Order: sequence, then C-alpha cells, then structure tokens
Amino acid sequence: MINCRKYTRYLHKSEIVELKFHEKLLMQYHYLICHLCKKYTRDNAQMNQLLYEYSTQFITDEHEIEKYQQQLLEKLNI
Amino acid sequence: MNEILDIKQQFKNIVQTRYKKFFLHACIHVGCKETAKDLIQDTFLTAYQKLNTFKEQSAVETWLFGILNNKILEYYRKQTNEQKHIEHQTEEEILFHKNGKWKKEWLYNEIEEKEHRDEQNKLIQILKKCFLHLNEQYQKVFSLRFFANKKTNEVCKLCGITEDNVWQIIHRGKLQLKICIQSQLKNKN
Repeated sequence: MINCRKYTRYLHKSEIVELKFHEKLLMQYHYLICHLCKKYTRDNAQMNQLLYEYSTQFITDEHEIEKYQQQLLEKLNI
Repeated sequence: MNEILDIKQQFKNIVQTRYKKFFLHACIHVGCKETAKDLIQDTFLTAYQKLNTFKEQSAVETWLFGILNNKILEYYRKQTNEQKHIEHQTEEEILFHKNGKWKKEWLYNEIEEKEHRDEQNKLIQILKKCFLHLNEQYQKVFSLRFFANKKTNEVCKLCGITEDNVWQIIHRGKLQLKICIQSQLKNKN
C-alpha cells in the first residue's frame, strides 16, 4: 500500500521514466481507493495541457519581444 | 561588394521580420527570457561580424539558426557545473500530512471547480506567474520538457543531470506550482 505522497511521486515519475511493474500496480490500486488523488490526477493533467498549449505565453510577451528587437537593431546599427 | 550589401539587407530584414521566431526558439530551450535575449544578441552580433565568411550554401536565416543552436548548446555546457542536488522536501511537508495523506485544503476550491471553464484565462495568467517563481534550474527543465518537447534523455544531456534528477525536479516543481496556484486562487476569492 502507498499513501498520497508516494502516489504523486509515482505519477510525476511516470511522465519521465517507465515505472516498474510493482510501482504501476501500487499506483493503480491507490488511484482506485483515493478520491483526493483522483482529483489531483485531473489537476495534474490540466496543468500539463496548459503547459504544452500555452508554452510561449509562460515565458514572454509581445511588448518585450518588440523592445528586445529594437535593442538588437540599435546594437547592430544597420 | 554588392553581395555583402545584399546579405546585410537580408540580415536586417530577418531581424525586423523574424526576430520573434528566434526569440521564442531560444526561450523554449533555455526557459528564461533574459538569457534568450542575450543569446540572440550574441548570435546576431557574432554573425554580423562574420558576414564575410558566410558562404551562400544555405539561407541566411538557416545560417543564423545554426549559430543560435550552437550558442544554446554552449550555454548548457557552461551550466552543467551548477548546483544539481535536490533540496529539502518542503513542498511535500506543506501539501501532505505526516501520514502521507493530502491536506484537503490544497485540493478543494469550490469556486475553482464551478468557474473552471470560464476562468481558464485567469488560470493561465496565474500559472504563468507561478512558473516564473520556480528557480532557474526548474524553469529550464520544465521548458525543455513541456515547451520544447524534448525527450528525457535529451533533457538529461543538455542539463547534465540524471533521469532521477529530472523526475524529482518535475515532481517538486509541480508541487510548487500547485501550492502557488492554490494560494493565488484563495487570495483572489
């Protein structure tokens, strides 16, 4: 049996590496019996979706890009 | 002489029309806009100084992308000596009871549930803000994994860390994002 803390570790680990057979079993069993981890699994999937879909929005905005572009043109002096 | 002038004109056009493409490419690979800006400046300045050596075997834009990719690799090589160890597990202490069960307040938020669909933009803004609160190493790993869609082995190679480090960074980063998002939602309500 694993607890919620261990479940989230396995959940995040499974996105990066293949889990061992017994880890998958433990994870699936915990998912079946824990409504809080079901909720977190949905939240996590939504977070992944937002990170993939809106990736560029997370790191910059249009005004900054224009500002940097102008700075570069001035430096290059062309 | 005319050829050089022609290349200079192409160069200027690229900065004016394609800068955004270069910037986003650098951003999703390094996860930090300041670093991305510096890498692009470096790329363009280096290329401009070496215009004479440009052989028209490829388009100027392709040539510039080649230089930028080398700058990105160089940046990661320099970073590999940075701190790599994973710090104390504070996020888990915040989110979980001592017996390892979730503290419910971090998972339930009635308003978030009800307004979920309408509030997606708000959520994106919060997530953006929270993402920028992650430390530089975490932002780099998240950017490579989610924004640049790199495979785990590529992330390991670029950052000079192991698979275990990657998943632990993703794990801790996501818990930090969860804490930050829930706190922001609570404050807004």
